[in-house]
Amino acid sequence: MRISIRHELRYAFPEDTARAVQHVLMTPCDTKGQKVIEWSIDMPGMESAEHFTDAFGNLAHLVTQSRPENGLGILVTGIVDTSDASGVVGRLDNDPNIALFKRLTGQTRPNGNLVNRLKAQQKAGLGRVELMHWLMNRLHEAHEASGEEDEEPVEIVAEDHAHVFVAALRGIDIPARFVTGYVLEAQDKPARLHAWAEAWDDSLGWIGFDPSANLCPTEAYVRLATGLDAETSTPVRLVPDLPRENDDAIRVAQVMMANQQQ
Amino acid sequence: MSEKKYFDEMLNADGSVRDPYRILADWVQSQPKTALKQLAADAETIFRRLGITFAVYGSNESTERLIPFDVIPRVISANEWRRLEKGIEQRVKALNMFLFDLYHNQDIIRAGRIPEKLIIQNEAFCPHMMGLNPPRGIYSHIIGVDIVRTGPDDFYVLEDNLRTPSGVSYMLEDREAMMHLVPDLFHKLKVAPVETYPENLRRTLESVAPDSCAGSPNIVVLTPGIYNSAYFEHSFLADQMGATLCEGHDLFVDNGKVYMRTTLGPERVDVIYRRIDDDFLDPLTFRPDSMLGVPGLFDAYRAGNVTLVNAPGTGIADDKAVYTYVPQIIEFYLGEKPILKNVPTYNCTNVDERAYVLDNLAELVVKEVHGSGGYGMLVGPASTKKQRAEFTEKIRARPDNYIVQPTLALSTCPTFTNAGIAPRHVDLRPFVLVGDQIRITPGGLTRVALKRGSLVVNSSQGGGTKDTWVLED
Amino acid sequence: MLGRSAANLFWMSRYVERAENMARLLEVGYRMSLTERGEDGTSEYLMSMLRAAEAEEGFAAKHEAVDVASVAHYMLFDTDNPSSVKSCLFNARTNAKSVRTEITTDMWESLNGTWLEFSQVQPRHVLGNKLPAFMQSIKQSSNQFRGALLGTLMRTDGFAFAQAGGFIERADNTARILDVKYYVLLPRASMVGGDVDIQQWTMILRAASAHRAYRHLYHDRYKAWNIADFLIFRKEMPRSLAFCATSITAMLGMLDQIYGEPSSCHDDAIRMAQILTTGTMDKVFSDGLHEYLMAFMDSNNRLSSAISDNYNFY
Repeated sequence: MRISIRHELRYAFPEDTARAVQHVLMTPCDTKGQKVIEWSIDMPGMESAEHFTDAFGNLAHLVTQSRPENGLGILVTGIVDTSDASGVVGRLDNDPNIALFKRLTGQTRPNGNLVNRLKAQQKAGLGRVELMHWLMNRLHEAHEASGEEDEEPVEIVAEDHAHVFVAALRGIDIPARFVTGYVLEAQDKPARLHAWAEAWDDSLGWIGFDPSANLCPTEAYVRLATGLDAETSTPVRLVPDLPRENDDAIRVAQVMMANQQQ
Repeated sequence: MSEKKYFDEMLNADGSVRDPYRILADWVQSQPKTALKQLAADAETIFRRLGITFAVYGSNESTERLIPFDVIPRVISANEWRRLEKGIEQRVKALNMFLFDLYHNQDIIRAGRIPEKLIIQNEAFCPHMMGLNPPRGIYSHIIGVDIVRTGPDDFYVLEDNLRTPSGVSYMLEDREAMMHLVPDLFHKLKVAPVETYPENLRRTLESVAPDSCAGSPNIVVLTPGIYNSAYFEHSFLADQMGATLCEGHDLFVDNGKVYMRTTLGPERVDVIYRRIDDDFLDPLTFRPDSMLGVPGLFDAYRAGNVTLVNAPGTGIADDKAVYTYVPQIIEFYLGEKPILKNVPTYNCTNVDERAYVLDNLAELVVKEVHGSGGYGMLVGPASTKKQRAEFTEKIRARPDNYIVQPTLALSTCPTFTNAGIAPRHVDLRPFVLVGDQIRITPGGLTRVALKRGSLVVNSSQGGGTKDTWVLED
Repeated sequence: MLGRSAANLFWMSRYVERAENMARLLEVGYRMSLTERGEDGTSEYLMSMLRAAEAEEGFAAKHEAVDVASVAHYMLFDTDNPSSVKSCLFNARTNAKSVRTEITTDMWESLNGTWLEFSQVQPRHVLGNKLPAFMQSIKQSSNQFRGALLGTLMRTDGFAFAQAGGFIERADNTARILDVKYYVLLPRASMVGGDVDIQQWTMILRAASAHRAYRHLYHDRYKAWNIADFLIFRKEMPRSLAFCATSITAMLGMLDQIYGEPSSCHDDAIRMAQILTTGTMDKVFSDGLHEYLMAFMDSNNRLSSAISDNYNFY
């Protein structure tokens, strides 16, 4: 499937912001399930931005503006061809040492109960990949049962699920990581920014799991970046180097559209 | 406590003077008591006059306190030093290779020589450093190794201090003071110079400039500011090297490069000798509430546009729990036997070892894994029953949070006290620079526990310093 | 040099100079008040002195009676007063500490010593008869620091910033000291230029350490006209506005030379100096002394901001 993406973000800086610095993780790479045809990030300072591979294998941009105008607008556009690879991402060129993704972080503290149940399944002879599926199903069931669905915004639910999934696998020594990207839920609806997880298997490489949707990413998914958790893989991390006295919060508005073209 | 069982730097057990101290001992004996007292007073005047020197900052009113200085130097023979030097060099080489490996392939973990969990889940391990290639592959450029001595040939490494070791200004100022106070002794003894340190520091920093840097690199010292307790050292080193002393807000990142704000506009910075802890370096990557750091600095480093000295994440190699593996680390990377000994360390997560520890607390030293500066520590022989009971509980609750070592019989060195010359316990912190080559300043900082019988040499706990003389052949 | 370091040097000197000038201002007010037959201890002179130091509001918020003891305490020791000698010395030292690598040991020792001594002084020990001597010792500390600066600091950009800051502050303070007199005369404006106020003018000269030099220059008894001329226009007089303006211009010129490029703040300084080198007393008294001084303080302040913009102070 060919997916065309147009993603607009706006940040409102306080008026007297002297410098703004952004760490941008918004460049997808080719995987088993996706091939990037066209991609561009349009934002002030992008022409002279520095780019490099970050610790988690993403292509990162460091973008700066001095005396940014009252707001920062980012426009991401691109075309990606996707195919359904049953969630298998495989091995990526820039992947760091896989063991890194066993590290627990503040956002990924394993739930002891879940870890014990995973261990029990492991003992009962469940294979590694089945174990991952088993975990995804349990998270989904738990969520259905709790009936929280309508209360929390969908992005928060997705992020939480991905964190729980990743943390539980790390708890039994399986490397797992947090993923950001876009998902196209229905043909007539705009795509949205989404979060899911990947877990490591020695023979298949990385496999995607979307615990909030209870499925492995399909051709409707475009994978953007990865990290230990949401904090390390967030699409735009920024510091407005505010004058000392000023600690106004940054307001974030997101507008995003995506169309599907066959 | 009997003082006999301790090795004395100057006197043999039979009271005769050890070789390296012969001239010094004669000199000390020839001094009337009043002369030494006068020297001690002169030393204090010199320290005050040399500037603020060892001032303790922190409070606004800031009555500047001097860290006590003892006028009787500690002497190390050329032979002893050669061995120490070799041992230190071996250690810092292996530890830098270890750091490179941890942030790349982790061969040492794959080989099963160090537990994966100990590294990957360690607070001091910095995931953002993964895959980064610092210039010349060096992570820790400026190191202060803490060494203690228990016998003529028994030197132990206590801590490697690979993050941002301090104290080198004390070493330099102590020497400066001694040259003023006892110039005649320097005529009689061939003492290896330490004054080359700032020049060597500069050379080391220049040698690790980013590859992209053409011409003479612009070097700055990054300090948390005037209220930091080591501010004097920061400004002293910047001054001695002819580098600019910067605070976080003096620097900024633009187009992936680091600049300082000068009177003529932005000026590119190539190497940053930073004396700010990892967590506070860059609010974009580390603690977002840091007011001391420079937003975007780490990314600029990652992109190869600036060098941070020392690299972030070096703490994993001087972590107290990793410390016990240093002998294996040396063997793994260099295929050599360690020249300097590690202090034997008990692992409290091991049931048998913990049982031994709890039964023998009165003879042992307990250290918090992430503590420093002599805080959060129990010195068994000097402890009360109540303190031991407290630590018993602490160890039971979090065995992984403590390492336990035997109380070392730290060597003593004659020291001028109110009661005349008396032996006091000392340690030694030699300073090492790693760049295009490894440069170890002969000697280092001798810290002395001024309280009778005390084994804690930290300045925060009533320790003082001595000049350290390495004799040349 | 870092813009911040340049700012630290500039302000270090400004604060040392300000500490000195606060002592000088207090001295004027104090001496004048001695001649007053005050009711309930309140002194008109001290009040006008506070006004000139822009300290009257802050003072009024804490004290009711304007008497020597409270005014002296407020001007010397009160850290709620941002211009008290104590606040100035503290700020001078903090600025110096931040540029420890840009100043000499002699400068640091002088400033640090002054601060340590000052911070140990018990106000009650100096507020009585010892007050004149204490104010004198503050001036001496400032002289000692200036001596260390002139005698040991390299003539690089840092020197120019430190000096420029000192002269800007001094010009401001000389204008203020003159303005005290204006306030005193306010109710009796018709007397301006007359002989009645000679005694007060004398004290102003003393506050500028210039009563003897005056005799040598004017060969005349104290006359208001001459004294204002002396403190505003005479280039020989190191505390006159003209002298300060010329010195600031020289320092900014030195920066242009060191940096190899002209600066707009140097042009501003030239203009300010020109007004002072071509002005006359006729005009000052016809425009009104107070108005003249206010206009000068304003352009002096603008020059300070221009320097700070020009050289990236922050």
